[in-house]
Amino acid sequence: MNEWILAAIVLLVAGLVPVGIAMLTGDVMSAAAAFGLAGPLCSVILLLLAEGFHRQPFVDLAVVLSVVSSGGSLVLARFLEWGA
Amino acid sequence: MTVLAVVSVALLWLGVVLELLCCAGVLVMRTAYARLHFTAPAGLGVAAVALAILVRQGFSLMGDKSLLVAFVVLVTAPVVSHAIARAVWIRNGRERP
Repeated sequence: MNEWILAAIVLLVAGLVPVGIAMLTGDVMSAAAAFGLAGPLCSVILLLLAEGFHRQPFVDLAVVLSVVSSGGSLVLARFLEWGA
Repeated sequence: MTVLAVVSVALLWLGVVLELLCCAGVLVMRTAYARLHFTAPAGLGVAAVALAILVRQGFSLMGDKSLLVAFVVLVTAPVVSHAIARAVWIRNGRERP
């Protein structure tokens, strides 16, 4: 295990789990605010895993996720404006 | 261990600490407006990790793609925060927070 995989594990356990708890607690808009952080967090975890396992093609997953998650958050915010 | 390796590891853990601080802030804060203060700085953590990969790999395909991820997150994270804050404002009857 190198430092990249260790950093990914730290972010998975100490980063993504608290964000998941924050998404499950509170009202809808607070959960949406926490969801806005989950996308960049997953992107950086995928970056770290790709570097840690020396798998260059896996970086494409982080690229796609960073674009798609921001678009998804924007669509979610738009729907929540309408009172869903 | 070379100087570049030390710089790379330092940038890596700087990015991890920034991301963890953002996660802790989102977990501790209760209202949506307060939580949104901690979502936009997450792009800085992504940028630090991408710089760490760039320092380690150089301008290879991996380094370039990690820079692309950092650029996308740095540009879109404030936009997403603004969109969510606008949605909260509209749902609350356009009242001042």
